Amino acid sequence: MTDAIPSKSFEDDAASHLDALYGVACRLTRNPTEAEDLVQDALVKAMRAKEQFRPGTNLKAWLFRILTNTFINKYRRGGLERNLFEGPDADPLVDGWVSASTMRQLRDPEQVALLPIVEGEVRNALDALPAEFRLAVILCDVEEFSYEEIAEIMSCPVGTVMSRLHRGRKLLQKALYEHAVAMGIVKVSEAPVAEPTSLEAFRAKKRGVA
Amino acid sequence: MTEVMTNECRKVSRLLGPSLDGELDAASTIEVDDHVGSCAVCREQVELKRSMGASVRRMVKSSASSDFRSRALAAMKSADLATVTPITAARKREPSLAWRALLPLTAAAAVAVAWNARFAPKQHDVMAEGSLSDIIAEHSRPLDPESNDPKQIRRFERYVGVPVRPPVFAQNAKLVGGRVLPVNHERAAMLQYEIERNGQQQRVSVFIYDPNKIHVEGLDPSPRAVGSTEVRVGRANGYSVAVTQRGGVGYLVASDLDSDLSADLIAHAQDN
Repeated sequence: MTDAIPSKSFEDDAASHLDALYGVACRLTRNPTEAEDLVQDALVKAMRAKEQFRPGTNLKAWLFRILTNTFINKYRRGGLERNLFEGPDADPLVDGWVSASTMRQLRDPEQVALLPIVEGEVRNALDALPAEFRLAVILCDVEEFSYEEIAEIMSCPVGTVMSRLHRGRKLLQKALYEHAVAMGIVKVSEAPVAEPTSLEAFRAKKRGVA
Repeated sequence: MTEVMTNECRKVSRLLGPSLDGELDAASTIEVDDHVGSCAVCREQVELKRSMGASVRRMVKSSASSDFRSRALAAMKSADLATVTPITAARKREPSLAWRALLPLTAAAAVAVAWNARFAPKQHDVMAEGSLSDIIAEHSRPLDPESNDPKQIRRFERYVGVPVRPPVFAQNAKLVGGRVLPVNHERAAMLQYEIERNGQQQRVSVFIYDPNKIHVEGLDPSPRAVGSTEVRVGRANGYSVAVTQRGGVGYLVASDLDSDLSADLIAHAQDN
């Protein structure tokens, strides 16, 4: 039997992203077995739709888009959650609620990473995020997609990507800070806000009616 | 240098993330850098974001198991073949599928085959539902067998409601064992085999059940003739599945074999 030796095929190219797809799928589904099913479904769909892929464009982003859509169709018939907090002012986390010294305590002084005991909570904190925040953070921080690519993958405008990233990271930070407080690593921070403002006052100010 | 947040901090705060992500234009980057250079709070914020990103990266990065990798690759290959095989050419090449590798112990037991996508009409990999979903899940992540003694396995009849006779494969196939398990609220016997191909063990699961109680949906609705036996075939969740009935007993084979391996297996079986 003679085996044809094809040049690097679409299949090989797609399969080279298997680990990346699997890592993200694990955090999307929060279950390794479901992650395997999700990745396999996505790759099978990709093979069937490979004619639709334009060579020269970003295959990895295309595969992640299929993965995201498959996830939504399979597990989230209603689509990703709608943003609960609409509008830029309705951010529940005002910057400056943790002092610089507290933030310093959360980090590992030896390397660019969180303190191991804080890092150990990253998975839980990430899994607790709304799926669209979680996905945006992972696509950006782990897979290093550009905002434009993430917008493409998540089928949303770039502005929405920025907002999801901003909120996702802040919620993550908040969860990790609370974990650190619970573990007794840091004391409850007295937010050193220069101009203590209520949300209402802040909104009013933004609207120029203060 | 200040330890408290100012309006400037608030303004810059939303730009810190995009700045770290390399998504800011030159003017904004300068603005952010200027501010961060003179603000302890925002500098800490940047460091914390950077550390958080690194820790998220470390936590999320993971490798797929080699078992899953080969399964996914086989599913991709099957999907590819199913897409490109012209139906007419495929039919012309269809060999006799009398698959003697799987010889039933008694004449009453049915033949079940591992199906070869390459020689078959266009098939789509379906998302398994109902009974098939349970079956595929069991094949994909099998529980340990309860027994590997054919006599014990025959006693599964009282749970399953139909005779359970372990099919006998060719000499390179080994009965690993069997167990009774629930399938869509009913019970079926699952027999696990290992078939050696090119030095590798390939898993094949044979399910035996009462077809009046367990209905397998999602396969090709038109049966094909394999010898004198009617077999329905299909692919679900990346696995190949073949179903038949004989003497009021339902038999289903689920396997991880990709098309080429299945073809090879069949060819090899015919040489016996």
